[in-house]
Amino acid sequence: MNRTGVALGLVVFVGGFASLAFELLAVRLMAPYFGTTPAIWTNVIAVVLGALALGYAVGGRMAPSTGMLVHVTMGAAVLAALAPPGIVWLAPFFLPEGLMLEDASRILSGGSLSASCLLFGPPVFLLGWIAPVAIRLEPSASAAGRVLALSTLGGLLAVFVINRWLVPQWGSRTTLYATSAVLAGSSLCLRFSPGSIACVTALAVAGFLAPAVTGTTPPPGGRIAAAVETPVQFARVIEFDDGRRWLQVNEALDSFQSVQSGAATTGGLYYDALAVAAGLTGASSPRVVILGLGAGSVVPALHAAWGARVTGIEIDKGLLNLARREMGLAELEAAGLQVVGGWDARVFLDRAAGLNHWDVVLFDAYRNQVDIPWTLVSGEAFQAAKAALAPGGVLALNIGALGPADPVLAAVASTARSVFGSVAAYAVRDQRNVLLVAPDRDLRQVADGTPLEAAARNLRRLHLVPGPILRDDQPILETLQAESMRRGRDG
Amino acid sequence: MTGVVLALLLYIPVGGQDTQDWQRLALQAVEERDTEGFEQAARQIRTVEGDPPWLRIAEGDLHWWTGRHHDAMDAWEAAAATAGPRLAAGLEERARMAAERRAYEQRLHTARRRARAGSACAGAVLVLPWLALTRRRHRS
Repeated sequence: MNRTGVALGLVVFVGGFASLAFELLAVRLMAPYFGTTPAIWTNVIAVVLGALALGYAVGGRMAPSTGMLVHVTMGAAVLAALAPPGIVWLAPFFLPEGLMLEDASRILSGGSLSASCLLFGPPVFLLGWIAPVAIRLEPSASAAGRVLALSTLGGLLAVFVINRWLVPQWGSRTTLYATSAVLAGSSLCLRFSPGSIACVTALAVAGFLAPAVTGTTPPPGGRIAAAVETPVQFARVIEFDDGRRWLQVNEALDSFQSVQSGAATTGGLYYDALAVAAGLTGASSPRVVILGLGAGSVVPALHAAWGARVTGIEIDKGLLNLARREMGLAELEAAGLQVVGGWDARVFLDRAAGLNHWDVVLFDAYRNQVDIPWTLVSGEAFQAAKAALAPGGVLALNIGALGPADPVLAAVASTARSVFGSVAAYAVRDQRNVLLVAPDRDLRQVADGTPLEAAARNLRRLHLVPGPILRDDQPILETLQAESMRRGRDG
Repeated sequence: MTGVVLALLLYIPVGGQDTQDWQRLALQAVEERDTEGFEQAARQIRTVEGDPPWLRIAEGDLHWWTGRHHDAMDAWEAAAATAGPRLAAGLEERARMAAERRAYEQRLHTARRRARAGSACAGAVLVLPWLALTRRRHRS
């Protein structure tokens, strides 16, 4: 293979890498504003595939030349570099401050489609030119196969290194500028010019200077105390004037994953209601496992009211590290909380099934702000939870719901009833949280004389409506969640 | 807001023992977001007192807390038309809340319009070039 052939191969490989990298980074850059729901992923994948297809079609019609390939590669790199500042400007345009989550659901989808099309459509369109132009510049019998193989291998490398290594190390903005710089740099192998070197240098410098992603404007009275991009999600800590702290992930809006109040209880938030459920077993120092620990907001109440021995499961180790630094999780660990990091809660449940060890299984696992992982609320998951419980043990779940007829609540409750025989639902006053308890137990007097007495009084028993039974092989939960948000939006 | 709901108690004209009980139950139902309990108490009160402004305000509060903001604003406006000066402070706060809600809905409407327009443009950008490419191929 001659020198030009090697240079072409390098450009094709880096172009393939950049295509996948821009797709993954598009979701990452938009996550603090629009989340990472399946709808967002669908939008980004549609834009990237659509732009690539269009690029292939148009690139295949152009007269091929090395100079044109250099310009296309440089153009793609520069256009992609506009995305980080672009999203900071576009996100508030589509998603104004102060919207409530249920009102914003349709905007999240439409806004992410518009933003990804505007910001990532043009550079990926140009990347689509590279393969057909490269094939025609090297007219050998094996050229097409070699170009497609190199491009795909570049994408394969991006799949492994972007989310696992580069973003957690550098953040999504710096990773995007670095990818753009490498893309522009690869074209130097085809043609060396001072302008090209200046472009590569500018992109590299932008990568070094890029500020970290911080997301939307914090709520009134709050300031961003810390923000990180973990291998799983975007997370930040908001500190309020009165000392309270919120842990938010992805599209936060008016919602939060964990709070730190400095007191045993959280002042009537749903975490206190979850903690009430641990008193149902009557066990002294009940053994409690929390699926979806976050920063452990429910743990102080469990310790104070019941002297519980608590184990927390959290899939995101990066989130745990942030919570240790900023949300007092390290102090909870010193007080006896056992943390199991990096484990999917369903995998944990399946391994714990049959142990009959836990008095209470508390479920509080969410992706983004509102999405319950479907593998955690299927009949099979509840069977595993039942088998992990000691005799007389209970399962308690925090379900985001906008009323007793909420389709997600109805389905999860019916599924729990099918496994445990009975289930009770309690609305937490003035919050979109419902506490499900299986089997059915009366929560309202159980916390009398404890710090959770007021929290128990804030609960109102709901009359549940029947819903479908959720199964591992019929993951309809996402459809039900979309319906739930639609009902919330339409009132 | 909770304090304002409770403060309504001070302005309720005192009636008989039964009426007072229903009045308390109505306000308690607002506190507990209990729509059925409120409707039952309101029926009893209206049988005796007609439709007093404080009950309209409480009904609006219940609508507000259960997410029916427009019903709440209607109830408060109806109450404001007949309420005396003793309820002015409470109505003023509710008027402020209603104004904030209207501003919020305006922002929401604008954002939804932008998202719809953006989606339509994105769809056009992804589809229309193919039509152009197909037409050009036919000509050649």
